[in-house]
Amino acid sequence: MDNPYRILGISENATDDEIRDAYRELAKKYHPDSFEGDKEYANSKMAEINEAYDLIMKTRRSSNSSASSYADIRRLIQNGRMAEAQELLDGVSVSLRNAEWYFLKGSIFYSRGWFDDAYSHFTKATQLDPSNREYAAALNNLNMRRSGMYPGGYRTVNHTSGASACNLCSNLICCDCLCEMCGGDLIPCC
Amino acid sequence: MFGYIRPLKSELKLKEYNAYRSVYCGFCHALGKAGPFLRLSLSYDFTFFSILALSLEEEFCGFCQKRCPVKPFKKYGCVKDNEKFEYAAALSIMMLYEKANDNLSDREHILSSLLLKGYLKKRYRKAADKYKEEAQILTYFTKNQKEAEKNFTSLDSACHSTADTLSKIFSKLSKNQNKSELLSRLGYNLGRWVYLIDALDDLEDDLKKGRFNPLILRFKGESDLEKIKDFAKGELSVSASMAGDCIEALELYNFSPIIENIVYFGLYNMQKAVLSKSRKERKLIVNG
Repeated sequence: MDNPYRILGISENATDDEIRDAYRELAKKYHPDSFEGDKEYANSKMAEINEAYDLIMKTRRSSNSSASSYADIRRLIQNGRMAEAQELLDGVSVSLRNAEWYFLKGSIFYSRGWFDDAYSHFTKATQLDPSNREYAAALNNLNMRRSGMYPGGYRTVNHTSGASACNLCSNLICCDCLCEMCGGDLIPCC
Repeated sequence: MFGYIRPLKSELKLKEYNAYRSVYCGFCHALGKAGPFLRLSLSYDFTFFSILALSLEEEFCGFCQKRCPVKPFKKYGCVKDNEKFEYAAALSIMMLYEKANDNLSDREHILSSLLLKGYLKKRYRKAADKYKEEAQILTYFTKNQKEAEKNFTSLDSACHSTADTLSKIFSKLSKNQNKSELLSRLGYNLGRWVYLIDALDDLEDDLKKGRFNPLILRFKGESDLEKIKDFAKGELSVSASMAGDCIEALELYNFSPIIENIVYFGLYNMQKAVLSKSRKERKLIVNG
């Protein structure tokens, strides 16, 4: 068989998306139902394209096996199967643990409500790979929540201690409560 | 639970404040029905639990007027007796009973714990018969807690048993699977928050007396108290904000402004109060 990349008309450095697009384009062109001309030629061309596409995808998937094992773990996390994801992560030997490993492990902690551990793992992930936006966003989210800015916006409260016009009513209620405790009543309606 | 979960009074409307008081009084009456001395165990935390339980039901049982045994000359607005109050009262009996047992096995407060245990024994059995799963959850809770404190590995693992217990109890408040999951997350975050704020509150005392405190163990060798406090404040805020997310997603039929007040304002306010310098300042902040 010819070079599968040449059959699809792309360079060997093409991204997965480009390969997919090229494959779709050709499949549309040579589909026996729509091809105008020799049906037999279309059929053989179609088989050739399919074979080339499968071959490229297969070699690509096996060459970066470590990335794909994390992709599996990612899928588990997205589906909420945390116990399995954690088991797979813990199985990765310490020397192979990269930024993504720390990020995923941190995500599991985060979903469990273990925010101290999540924080240290997200921090480690961003240290190992400072340019990654996903890790930075996760860390930033925790930092926002830590700072107490969340829930933010109109939900923030200004505290004025002592007597001021702003909490006049509540002060009156407090006085009322205190009076009532001693048997009196400041505000008769409550 | 130790009375940390309460509303920020100054942010409540009068009608909301009255409604909160009605739940508080109503729950107190329910406790009195289960055992007159149980009224003494009335707490803001269980009041919150009762309000949440009531707010998840579409039907509301309504208000009535009752006399308060402490102030018997006037009638007060109360939420009518209902099964949610009875449930919360049963839970509080079971929790007290476990606490007494725990004290006895630690040989602390022996006399008062023996008295308490004697008083609760029949009531505990009745409650535990009716709510078997809950009784089991609470029995495991004290056991797990002790084990986690013995083999301290991380702050989060120390928080886990309180958080997990609350998560399981809260999840039982709804039969709807979606809601139950949200409630479970709410319970986990609130449980973690309560455990942490209690640790923060006792920090200086525990440091002086050399007692167990997860925050001290988390910062082994750290002498700067302010740094520990700052860290604790951050962790508390994370849990509080997560609890806020759960409340936002939950469909609450009654009392929603009160519950929102407690989770969005009350928790943060209590953090401030616990971190305050003096008792006087703390009181001012707690009272809003």
